[in-house]
Amino acid sequence: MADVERLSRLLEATARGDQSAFAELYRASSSHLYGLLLRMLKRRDLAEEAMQDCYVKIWQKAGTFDGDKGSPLTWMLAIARYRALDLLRIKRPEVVMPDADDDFSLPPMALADESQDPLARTEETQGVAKMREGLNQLPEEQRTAVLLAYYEGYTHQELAKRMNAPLGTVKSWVRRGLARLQEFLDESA
Amino acid sequence: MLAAEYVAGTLVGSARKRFRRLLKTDADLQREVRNWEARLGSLDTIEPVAPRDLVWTGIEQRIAQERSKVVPIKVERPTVRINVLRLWGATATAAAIVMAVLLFRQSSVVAPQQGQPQIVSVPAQAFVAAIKLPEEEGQWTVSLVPDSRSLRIHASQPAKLAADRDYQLWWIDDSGGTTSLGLLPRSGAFQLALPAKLTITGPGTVAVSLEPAGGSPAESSPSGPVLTAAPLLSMI
Repeated sequence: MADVERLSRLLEATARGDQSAFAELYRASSSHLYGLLLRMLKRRDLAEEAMQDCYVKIWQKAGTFDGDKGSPLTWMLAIARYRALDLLRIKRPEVVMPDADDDFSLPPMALADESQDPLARTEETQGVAKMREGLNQLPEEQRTAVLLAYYEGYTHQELAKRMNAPLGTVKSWVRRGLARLQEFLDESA
Repeated sequence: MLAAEYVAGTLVGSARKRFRRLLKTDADLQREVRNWEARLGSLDTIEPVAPRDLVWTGIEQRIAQERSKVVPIKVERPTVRINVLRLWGATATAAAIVMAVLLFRQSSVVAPQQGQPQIVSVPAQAFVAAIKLPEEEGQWTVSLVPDSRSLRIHASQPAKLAADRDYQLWWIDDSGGTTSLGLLPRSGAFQLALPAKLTITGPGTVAVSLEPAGGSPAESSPSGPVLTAAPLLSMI
Protein backbone atom coordinates (compact mmCIF):
# COMPACT_ATOMS: atom_id res chain seq x y z
CA MET A 1 0.00 0.00 0.00
CA ALA A 2 2.75 2.37 -0.96
CA ASP A 3 0.28 4.88 -2.33
CA VAL A 4 -1.64 5.10 0.90
CA GLU A 5 1.61 5.66 2.74
CA ARG A 6 2.77 8.20 0.23
CA LEU A 7 -0.46 10.18 0.35
CA SER A 8 -0.51 10.02 4.15
CA ARG A 9 3.03 11.32 4.26
CA LEU A 10 2.16 14.14 1.86
CA LEU A 11 -0.86 15.08 3.93
CA GLU A 12 1.26 15.17 7.09
CA ALA A 13 3.80 17.42 5.39
CA THR A 14 0.99 19.60 4.06
CA ALA A 15 -0.32 19.98 7.62
CA ARG A 16 3.11 21.39 8.54
CA GLY A 17 2.77 23.98 5.80
CA ASP A 18 5.02 22.29 3.25
CA GLN A 19 3.87 23.73 -0.06
CA SER A 20 5.85 21.43 -2.30
CA ALA A 21 4.34 18.40 -0.54
CA PHE A 22 0.94 19.94 -1.11
CA ALA A 23 1.73 20.37 -4.81
CA GLU A 24 2.76 16.73 -4.99
CA LEU A 25 -0.40 15.71 -3.16
CA TYR A 26 -2.38 17.64 -5.75
CA ARG A 27 -0.60 15.96 -8.64
CA ALA A 28 -1.25 12.55 -7.11
CA SER A 29 -4.89 13.07 -6.25
CA SER A 30 -6.42 15.84 -8.36
CA SER A 31 -7.64 13.66 -11.22
CA HIS A 32 -9.62 11.52 -8.77
CA LEU A 33 -11.29 14.47 -7.09
CA TYR A 34 -11.88 16.21 -10.40
CA GLY A 35 -13.41 13.09 -11.96
CA LEU A 36 -15.79 12.84 -9.04
CA LEU A 37 -16.69 16.54 -9.13
CA LEU A 38 -17.27 16.51 -12.88
CA ARG A 39 -19.49 13.48 -12.57
CA MET A 40 -21.58 15.05 -9.84
CA LEU A 41 -21.66 18.65 -10.98
CA LYS A 42 -21.76 18.01 -14.73
CA ARG A 43 -20.31 21.41 -15.59
CA ARG A 44 -16.64 22.14 -15.94
CA ASP A 45 -16.87 25.63 -14.44
CA LEU A 46 -18.64 24.35 -11.32
CA ALA A 47 -16.25 21.42 -10.99
CA GLU A 48 -13.24 23.73 -11.29
CA GLU A 49 -14.64 26.11 -8.74
CA ALA A 50 -15.30 23.18 -6.39
CA MET A 51 -11.75 21.86 -6.96
CA GLN A 52 -10.31 25.13 -5.72
CA ASP A 53 -12.57 25.07 -2.66
CA CYS A 54 -11.68 21.46 -1.92
CA TYR A 55 -7.93 21.84 -2.10
CA VAL A 56 -8.00 25.01 -0.04
CA LYS A 57 -9.92 22.99 2.53
CA ILE A 58 -7.47 20.09 2.27
CA TRP A 59 -4.66 22.59 2.83
CA GLN A 60 -6.41 23.97 5.91
CA LYS A 61 -7.58 20.65 7.34
CA ALA A 62 -4.68 18.36 6.49
CA GLY A 63 -3.78 18.25 10.18
CA THR A 64 -7.13 16.66 11.06
CA PHE A 65 -6.57 13.64 8.80
CA ASP A 66 -6.11 10.52 10.90
CA GLY A 67 -4.50 7.66 9.04
CA ASP A 68 -5.75 5.15 11.60
CA LYS A 69 -9.32 5.95 10.73
CA GLY A 70 -9.31 5.73 6.96
CA SER A 71 -7.38 6.09 3.75
CA PRO A 72 -6.14 9.49 2.62
CA LEU A 73 -7.83 9.28 -0.77
CA THR A 74 -11.18 8.37 0.80
CA TRP A 75 -10.79 11.33 3.13
CA MET A 76 -10.11 13.72 0.26
CA LEU A 77 -12.88 12.28 -1.91
CA ALA A 78 -15.32 12.74 0.96
CA ILE A 79 -14.37 16.42 1.13
CA ALA A 80 -15.03 16.69 -2.60
CA ARG A 81 -18.35 14.84 -2.37
CA TYR A 82 -19.68 17.03 0.43
CA ARG A 83 -18.60 20.15 -1.43
CA ALA A 84 -20.34 18.90 -4.56
CA LEU A 85 -23.50 18.10 -2.61
CA ASP A 86 -23.51 21.59 -1.12
CA LEU A 87 -23.03 23.17 -4.52
CA LEU A 88 -25.74 20.99 -6.04
CA ARG A 89 -28.21 22.09 -3.41
CA ILE A 90 -27.38 25.71 -4.14
CA LYS A 91 -27.00 25.51 -7.88
CA ARG A 92 -29.06 22.57 -9.02
CA PRO A 93 -31.59 24.73 -10.87
CA GLU A 94 -28.77 25.71 -13.23
CA VAL A 95 -27.77 22.13 -13.81
CA VAL A 96 -29.82 20.51 -16.48
CA MET A 97 -31.71 17.59 -15.04
CA PRO A 98 -32.41 14.71 -17.36
CA ASP A 99 -36.13 14.25 -17.93
CA ALA A 100 -37.89 11.34 -16.35
CA ASP A 101 -38.64 9.91 -19.75
CA ASP A 102 -35.03 10.08 -20.86
CA ASP A 103 -33.58 6.79 -21.79
CA PHE A 104 -32.86 5.51 -18.36
CA SER A 105 -29.46 4.10 -17.69
CA LEU A 106 -27.20 3.80 -14.73
CA PRO A 107 -24.47 6.35 -14.34
CA PRO A 108 -21.11 5.45 -15.83
CA MET A 109 -19.92 4.06 -12.51
CA ALA A 110 -21.03 1.01 -14.16
CA LEU A 111 -20.16 -1.83 -11.95
CA ALA A 112 -18.60 -2.92 -15.22
CA ASP A 113 -14.95 -2.08 -15.77
CA GLU A 114 -12.28 -2.25 -13.19
CA SER A 115 -10.37 0.96 -12.95
CA GLN A 116 -7.04 0.94 -14.70
CA ASP A 117 -5.72 3.51 -12.37
CA PRO A 118 -2.94 2.08 -10.21
CA LEU A 119 -3.65 4.32 -7.24
CA ALA A 120 -7.30 3.41 -7.22
CA ARG A 121 -6.48 -0.21 -7.77
CA THR A 122 -4.05 -0.72 -4.95
CA GLU A 123 -6.06 1.20 -2.45
CA GLU A 124 -9.60 0.29 -3.25
CA THR A 125 -9.92 -2.92 -5.20
CA GLN A 126 -11.06 -5.02 -2.33
CA GLY A 127 -13.61 -2.49 -1.20
CA VAL A 128 -14.87 -1.97 -4.74
CA ALA A 129 -15.34 -5.69 -5.32
CA LYS A 130 -17.27 -6.10 -2.12
CA MET A 131 -19.33 -3.03 -2.80
CA ARG A 132 -20.18 -4.21 -6.32
CA GLU A 133 -21.27 -7.52 -4.92
CA GLY A 134 -23.39 -5.78 -2.32
CA LEU A 135 -25.00 -3.52 -4.89
CA ASN A 136 -25.65 -6.39 -7.24
CA GLN A 137 -27.69 -8.25 -4.69
CA LEU A 138 -30.06 -5.30 -4.19
CA PRO A 139 -33.38 -5.18 -5.99
CA GLU A 140 -33.04 -3.02 -9.06
CA GLU A 141 -35.01 0.02 -7.82
CA GLN A 142 -33.06 0.12 -4.58
CA ARG A 143 -29.75 -0.12 -6.39
CA THR A 144 -30.68 2.58 -8.86
CA ALA A 145 -31.99 4.90 -6.14
CA VAL A 146 -28.85 4.51 -4.02
CA LEU A 147 -26.55 4.99 -6.99
CA LEU A 148 -28.36 8.02 -8.36
CA ALA A 149 -28.35 9.61 -4.93
CA TYR A 150 -24.70 8.84 -4.48
CA TYR A 151 -23.37 9.45 -7.96
CA GLU A 152 -25.57 12.26 -9.11
CA GLY A 153 -26.32 13.83 -5.74
CA TYR A 154 -30.06 13.52 -6.27
CA THR A 155 -32.42 14.48 -3.48
CA HIS A 156 -35.47 12.33 -2.73
CA GLN A 157 -37.62 14.72 -4.76
CA GLU A 158 -35.29 14.53 -7.73
CA LEU A 159 -35.18 10.75 -7.46
CA ALA A 160 -38.98 10.60 -7.42
CA LYS A 161 -39.11 12.67 -10.60
CA ARG A 162 -36.35 10.81 -12.36
CA MET A 163 -37.60 7.35 -11.39
CA ASN A 164 -41.20 8.30 -11.86
CA ALA A 165 -42.28 7.02 -8.48
CA PRO A 166 -43.96 8.51 -5.40
CA LEU A 167 -41.73 10.34 -2.93
CA GLY A 168 -42.41 7.90 -0.09
CA THR A 169 -41.50 5.00 -2.30
CA VAL A 170 -38.12 6.34 -3.38
CA LYS A 171 -37.34 7.30 0.20
CA SER A 172 -37.82 3.72 1.27
CA TRP A 173 -35.85 2.44 -1.73
CA VAL A 174 -32.86 4.49 -0.62
CA ARG A 175 -33.24 3.60 3.03
CA ARG A 176 -33.76 -0.11 2.47
CA GLY A 177 -31.04 -0.23 -0.14
CA LEU A 178 -28.53 1.30 2.26
CA ALA A 179 -29.69 -0.93 5.12
CA ARG A 180 -29.30 -4.07 3.02
CA LEU A 181 -25.91 -2.93 1.84
CA GLN A 182 -24.85 -2.45 5.41
CA GLU A 183 -26.07 -5.91 6.40
CA PHE A 184 -24.32 -7.45 3.44
CA LEU A 185 -21.03 -5.67 4.09
CA ASP A 186 -21.15 -6.43 7.81
CA GLU A 187 -21.81 -10.10 7.16
CA SER A 188 -18.99 -10.42 4.67
CA ALA A 189 -16.57 -8.40 6.78
CA MET B 1 -29.23 4.83 8.97
CA LEU B 2 -29.02 8.61 9.22
CA ALA B 3 -25.27 8.37 8.77
CA ALA B 4 -25.73 6.40 5.55
CA GLU B 5 -28.21 8.95 4.24
CA TYR B 6 -25.89 11.76 5.22
CA VAL B 7 -23.04 10.22 3.26
CA ALA B 8 -25.27 9.26 0.33
CA GLY B 9 -26.49 12.84 0.30
CA THR B 10 -30.21 12.23 0.64
CA LEU B 11 -30.29 13.79 4.10
CA VAL B 12 -30.91 17.41 3.17
CA GLY B 13 -31.84 20.82 4.52
CA SER B 14 -32.27 21.35 8.23
CA ALA B 15 -31.97 17.62 8.97
CA ARG B 16 -28.54 17.67 7.33
CA LYS B 17 -27.49 20.71 9.31
CA ARG B 18 -28.67 19.12 12.56
CA PHE B 19 -26.78 15.96 11.70
CA ARG B 20 -23.62 17.95 11.02
CA ARG B 21 -23.89 19.60 14.40
CA LEU B 22 -24.30 16.26 16.14
CA LEU B 23 -21.44 14.81 14.13
CA LYS B 24 -19.00 17.32 15.58
CA THR B 25 -19.24 15.83 19.06
CA ASP B 26 -20.63 12.32 18.68
CA ALA B 27 -17.81 9.79 18.29
CA ASP B 28 -20.14 6.90 17.41
CA LEU B 29 -21.70 8.92 14.67
CA GLN B 30 -18.27 9.93 13.40
CA ARG B 31 -17.26 6.30 13.22
CA GLU B 32 -20.45 5.37 11.41
CA VAL B 33 -19.99 8.17 8.89
CA ARG B 34 -16.39 7.14 8.31
CA ASN B 35 -17.51 3.58 7.67
CA TRP B 36 -20.02 4.71 5.10
CA GLU B 37 -17.55 7.06 3.49
CA ALA B 38 -15.18 4.15 3.13
CA ARG B 39 -17.87 1.79 1.84
CA LEU B 40 -19.46 4.10 -0.68
CA GLY B 41 -16.18 5.86 -1.31
CA SER B 42 -14.72 2.63 -2.59
CA LEU B 43 -16.71 3.30 -5.75
CA ASP B 44 -15.50 6.83 -6.15
CA THR B 45 -12.17 6.34 -7.80
CA ILE B 46 -13.42 4.96 -11.03
CA GLU B 47 -12.89 7.57 -13.71
CA PRO B 48 -10.04 9.96 -12.95
CA VAL B 49 -10.04 13.09 -15.10
CA ALA B 50 -7.12 15.51 -15.13
CA PRO B 51 -8.19 19.08 -14.35
CA ARG B 52 -6.91 22.01 -16.40
CA ASP B 53 -3.60 23.46 -15.22
CA LEU B 54 -5.13 26.79 -14.32
CA VAL B 55 -7.11 25.12 -11.54
CA TRP B 56 -3.84 24.56 -9.69
CA THR B 57 -2.79 28.16 -10.28
CA GLY B 58 -6.11 29.24 -8.77
CA ILE B 59 -5.51 27.01 -5.74
CA GLU B 60 -1.96 28.29 -5.28
CA GLN B 61 -3.26 31.81 -5.34
CA ARG B 62 -5.93 31.04 -2.74
CA ILE B 63 -3.36 29.29 -0.53
CA ALA B 64 -1.05 32.28 -0.78
CA GLN B 65 -3.96 34.40 0.43
CA GLU B 66 -4.64 31.97 3.27
CA ARG B 67 -1.04 32.16 4.34
CA SER B 68 -0.96 35.91 4.18
CA LYS B 69 -3.97 35.97 6.51
CA VAL B 70 -2.11 33.99 9.12
CA VAL B 71 1.36 35.42 8.77
CA PRO B 72 1.41 38.99 7.57
CA ILE B 73 3.95 39.11 4.80
CA LYS B 74 5.81 42.14 3.67
CA VAL B 75 4.51 43.15 0.28
CA GLU B 76 7.55 43.76 -1.81
CA ARG B 77 7.58 46.36 -4.46
CA PRO B 78 7.45 44.68 -7.83
CA THR B 79 10.70 44.73 -9.68
CA VAL B 80 9.24 44.99 -13.14
CA ARG B 81 7.35 48.09 -14.06
CA ILE B 82 5.09 48.23 -17.01
CA ASN B 83 4.96 51.41 -18.96
CA VAL B 84 1.23 51.60 -19.32
CA LEU B 85 1.26 54.59 -21.61
CA ARG B 86 3.61 52.94 -24.08
CA LEU B 87 1.50 49.80 -24.02
CA TRP B 88 -1.52 51.87 -24.72
CA GLY B 89 0.10 53.22 -27.85
CA ALA B 90 0.94 49.75 -29.02
CA THR B 91 -2.43 48.30 -28.38
CA ALA B 92 -4.62 51.20 -29.30
CA THR B 93 -5.70 49.64 -32.55
CA ALA B 94 -6.60 46.41 -30.85
CA ALA B 95 -8.51 48.35 -28.30
CA ALA B 96 -11.00 46.46 -26.35
CA ILE B 97 -14.68 46.62 -26.73
CA VAL B 98 -16.07 46.76 -23.31
CA MET B 99 -19.24 44.96 -22.77
CA ALA B 100 -21.22 44.09 -19.84
CA VAL B 101 -24.06 42.49 -18.22
CA LEU B 102 -23.95 42.15 -14.52
CA LEU B 103 -25.22 42.44 -11.13
CA PHE B 104 -27.13 45.30 -9.82
CA ARG B 105 -27.45 44.76 -6.20
CA GLN B 106 -29.85 46.85 -4.25
CA SER B 107 -29.94 47.19 -0.59
CA SER B 108 -33.41 47.60 0.79
CA VAL B 109 -34.77 51.07 0.84
CA VAL B 110 -36.03 52.13 4.20
CA ALA B 111 -38.23 55.15 4.71
CA PRO B 112 -36.24 57.83 6.47
CA GLN B 113 -37.09 58.34 10.09
CA GLN B 114 -35.99 61.09 12.33
CA GLY B 115 -32.61 60.49 13.79
CA GLN B 116 -32.19 57.35 11.69
CA PRO B 117 -29.69 57.14 8.89
CA GLN B 118 -31.33 56.91 5.53
CA ILE B 119 -30.46 53.81 3.55
CA VAL B 120 -30.41 54.39 -0.15
CA SER B 121 -30.02 51.82 -2.87
CA VAL B 122 -26.50 51.53 -4.15
CA PRO B 123 -25.52 49.59 -7.23
CA ALA B 124 -22.78 47.07 -6.64
CA GLN B 125 -19.64 47.98 -8.48
CA ALA B 126 -18.60 45.75 -11.27
CA PHE B 127 -15.79 46.12 -13.75
CA VAL B 128 -15.14 44.57 -17.08
CA ALA B 129 -12.31 44.46 -19.58
CA ALA B 130 -12.13 42.93 -23.02
CA ILE B 131 -8.75 41.59 -24.07
CA LYS B 132 -7.58 41.06 -27.61
CA LEU B 133 -4.22 39.40 -28.11
CA PRO B 134 -1.98 39.70 -31.20
CA GLU B 135 -1.86 36.03 -32.19
CA GLU B 136 -5.41 35.16 -31.23
CA GLU B 137 -8.68 35.42 -33.06
CA GLY B 138 -10.89 35.22 -30.02
CA GLN B 139 -11.06 37.62 -27.14
CA TRP B 140 -11.13 37.26 -23.38
CA THR B 141 -13.69 39.05 -21.27
CA VAL B 142 -12.72 39.72 -17.68
CA SER B 143 -15.45 40.68 -15.25
CA LEU B 144 -14.80 41.58 -11.70
CA VAL B 145 -17.11 42.24 -8.76
CA PRO B 146 -14.84 43.61 -6.03
CA ASP B 147 -17.51 43.09 -3.34
CA SER B 148 -17.68 39.39 -4.00
CA ARG B 149 -13.90 39.33 -4.50
CA SER B 150 -14.37 37.17 -7.54
CA LEU B 151 -13.08 37.42 -11.03
CA ARG B 152 -14.54 35.66 -14.03
CA ILE B 153 -12.67 35.25 -17.28
CA HIS B 154 -14.28 34.00 -20.43
CA ALA B 155 -12.58 33.01 -23.68
CA SER B 156 -14.70 33.52 -26.79
CA GLN B 157 -12.62 31.00 -28.74
CA PRO B 158 -10.03 28.38 -27.82
CA ALA B 159 -6.55 29.87 -27.50
CA LYS B 160 -3.96 29.02 -30.15
CA LEU B 161 -0.88 29.31 -27.99
CA ALA B 162 1.50 26.40 -27.49
CA ALA B 163 0.74 23.87 -24.76
CA ASP B 164 3.85 24.85 -22.81
CA ARG B 165 2.77 28.49 -22.57
CA ASP B 166 0.09 30.36 -20.69
CA TYR B 167 -1.32 33.85 -20.78
CA GLN B 168 -1.17 35.50 -17.39
CA LEU B 169 -3.41 38.37 -16.34
CA TRP B 170 -2.05 41.22 -14.24
CA TRP B 171 -3.55 44.11 -12.39
CA ILE B 172 -1.53 47.27 -12.96
CA ASP B 173 -1.68 49.79 -10.16
CA ASP B 174 -1.31 53.52 -10.58
CA SER B 175 2.45 53.42 -10.20
CA GLY B 176 2.88 50.59 -12.71
CA GLY B 177 3.19 47.84 -10.06
CA THR B 178 1.81 44.44 -10.98
CA THR B 179 -0.28 41.87 -9.13
CA SER B 180 -1.10 38.53 -10.69
CA LEU B 181 -4.80 37.87 -11.13
CA GLY B 182 -4.29 34.37 -12.51
CA LEU B 183 -4.09 32.67 -15.87
CA LEU B 184 -6.40 33.22 -18.79
CA PRO B 185 -8.36 30.03 -19.51
CA ARG B 186 -7.37 28.45 -22.82
CA SER B 187 -11.05 28.00 -23.54
CA GLY B 188 -14.39 28.50 -21.85
CA ALA B 189 -14.84 30.31 -18.59
CA PHE B 190 -12.87 30.30 -15.37
CA GLN B 191 -13.65 31.80 -12.02
CA LEU B 192 -11.01 32.92 -9.57
CA ALA B 193 -10.82 34.61 -6.21
CA LEU B 194 -9.24 38.06 -6.13
CA PRO B 195 -5.84 38.17 -4.36
CA ALA B 196 -6.36 39.04 -0.69
CA LYS B 197 -3.89 41.89 -0.70
CA LEU B 198 -5.51 43.54 -3.69
CA THR B 199 -8.22 46.13 -3.27
CA ILE B 200 -9.84 47.44 -6.38
CA THR B 201 -12.09 50.39 -5.83
CA GLY B 202 -12.12 52.07 -9.19
CA PRO B 203 -11.46 51.53 -12.88
CA GLY B 204 -7.90 50.58 -13.76
CA THR B 205 -5.76 48.63 -16.13
CA VAL B 206 -5.08 44.97 -16.65
CA ALA B 207 -2.30 43.51 -18.77
CA VAL B 208 -1.51 40.10 -20.20
CA SER B 209 1.93 38.54 -20.44
CA LEU B 210 3.12 35.42 -22.22
CA GLU B 211 4.49 32.98 -19.67
CA PRO B 212 5.69 29.41 -19.35
CA ALA B 213 2.88 26.97 -18.55
CA GLY B 214 1.62 27.60 -15.04
CA GLY B 215 2.50 31.28 -15.04
CA SER B 216 5.43 33.54 -14.23
CA PRO B 217 8.03 31.99 -11.94
CA ALA B 218 8.31 35.41 -10.29
CA GLU B 219 5.45 35.82 -7.88
CA SER B 220 4.62 39.43 -8.47
CA SER B 221 5.84 40.29 -11.93
CA PRO B 222 5.70 38.98 -15.48
CA SER B 223 8.70 37.03 -16.73
CA GLY B 224 7.73 37.05 -20.39
CA PRO B 225 6.71 39.75 -22.85
CA VAL B 226 3.68 41.84 -22.03
CA LEU B 227 1.33 41.40 -24.96
CA THR B 228 -1.38 43.88 -24.26
CA ALA B 229 -3.04 46.10 -21.72
CA ALA B 230 -6.70 46.89 -21.50
CA PRO B 231 -8.82 49.20 -19.42
CA LEU B 232 -10.92 47.70 -16.67
CA LEU B 233 -14.00 49.84 -16.85
CA SER B 234 -16.90 50.30 -14.53
CA MET B 235 -20.01 48.70 -15.89
CA ILE B 236 -22.47 50.97 -14.22
